Amino acid sequence: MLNVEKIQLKYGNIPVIHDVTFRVEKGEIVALVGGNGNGKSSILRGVAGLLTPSLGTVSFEGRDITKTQAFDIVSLGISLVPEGRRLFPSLSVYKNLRLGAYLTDDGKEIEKRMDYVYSIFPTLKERKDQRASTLSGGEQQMVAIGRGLMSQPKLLLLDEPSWGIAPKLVDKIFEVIREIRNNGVTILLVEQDVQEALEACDRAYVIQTGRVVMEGTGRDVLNSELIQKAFLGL
Amino acid sequence: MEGVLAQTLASGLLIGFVYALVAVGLTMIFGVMDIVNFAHGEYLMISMYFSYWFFILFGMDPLYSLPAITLIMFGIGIITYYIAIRPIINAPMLSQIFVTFGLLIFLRGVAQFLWKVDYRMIPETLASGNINLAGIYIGRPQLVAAVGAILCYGVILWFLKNTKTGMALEAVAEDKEAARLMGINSNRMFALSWGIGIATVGIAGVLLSTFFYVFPEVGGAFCLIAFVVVALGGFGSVVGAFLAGIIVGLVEVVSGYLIDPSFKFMFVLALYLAVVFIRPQGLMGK
Repeated sequence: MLNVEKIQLKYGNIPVIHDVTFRVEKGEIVALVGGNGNGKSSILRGVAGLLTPSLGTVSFEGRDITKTQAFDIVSLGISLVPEGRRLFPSLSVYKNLRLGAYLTDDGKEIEKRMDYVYSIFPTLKERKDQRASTLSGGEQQMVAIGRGLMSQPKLLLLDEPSWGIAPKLVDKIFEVIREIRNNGVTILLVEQDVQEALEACDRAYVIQTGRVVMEGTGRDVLNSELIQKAFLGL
Repeated sequence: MEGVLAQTLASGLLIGFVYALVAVGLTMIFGVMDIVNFAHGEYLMISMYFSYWFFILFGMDPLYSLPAITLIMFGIGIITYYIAIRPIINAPMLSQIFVTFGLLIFLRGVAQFLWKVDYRMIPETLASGNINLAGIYIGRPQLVAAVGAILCYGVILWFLKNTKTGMALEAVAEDKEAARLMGINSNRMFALSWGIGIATVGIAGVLLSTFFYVFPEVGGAFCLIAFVVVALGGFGSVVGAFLAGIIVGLVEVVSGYLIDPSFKFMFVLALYLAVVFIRPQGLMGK
């Protein structure tokens, strides 16, 4: 579904990602794990069109999207839930979700998607008229994921879904991520909570200093010496 | 004495609504794209000339030419964006200041070249005359301008709060990158904010032309006031600009009445300084 071939990503003149190759198949949950500052988020930004790779290609469903603009990539069926959530703080929960479906004008369709989001996150329905900035971290993450789902993506990119959330809610968020996948959305996620991510995913790539250093099923990677030593300190 | 004060308050309120309308466009462009349009007053001047020439050449009353001029100004705003602003969106702030300031000098120069520095006035409009409201005499043109400004402001606020495009404008103002992730083409939103911003200052210009002289420098004074209004209301806040416009109008006339009309701008600018020192983000700013 998604094929990333030998991409290089730069901020200004400084490369942060060198020669990274990976793929995501339909229906999978794929995780990119690794420590902070290793360029995982940049990879998602590259896929979503916020960063244009200086080398290599990104293709989605057989179509080259390497140079496609972020606002056009959404219409192809890729949606990014960005790092730090990036909600529209002074707009209501409802408007945040509505903007997620910006490319649709069909009122019934929007209603349907909104109901789906409310069915996953019932709290959001109660809070729909509240400003996004007044929500707790966990609720904001729900809005961010809900907003990402409102464009009805085929591929959902999640950047640090556990960021800034109470530990007991992290399990819940990952449960929801699996539920979303079971409803037919493919998921590519980036996560610092290595254990949680590797338990939830089908396959994983370990990123260090801007390169893929290991790949395998979630369980294999989790049990590998590299992960046990470098990330879990066992 | 009381009558005079009431009269003063009324005229301050009326001009305040017009100040608010001039400032709404300025604050909107700033809010959506973080660019300060120093040439904002020049667009006011241009629309006043449009109003004047429509009257002189075609005998059209400003109130009749208003819809056409609004559309023309909307177009001019969009064109300005694509020609002058789009190339400098990611440029350093100083370059952006130079461009909009250069636009000010250019537009003023063009006006001086085409129409000389003469003061012109539309002699008689549909709005001319006075009315007596419970003992207070109010100029009809001022009343028409105030009502027009309130209506225009209401339409803008409704548009921002209730339409998808309005929401998208607010989204771009809050977080440009997140807006792109929603599928919003921020470039189009920038162009739209220029269209709307310049159209609203255009409406203010037409309304003003029913009771104010038209001359190439007319934008200067109004633009200065608009900056005070925008700073007081909070940069980027449409609601703030409206409230602040009224406050500035009232401060101007009341200080002129109580102290001396020639000092009135001193108090307006003192208010500006006070805001900058005490609450730099303005009344409704973030």
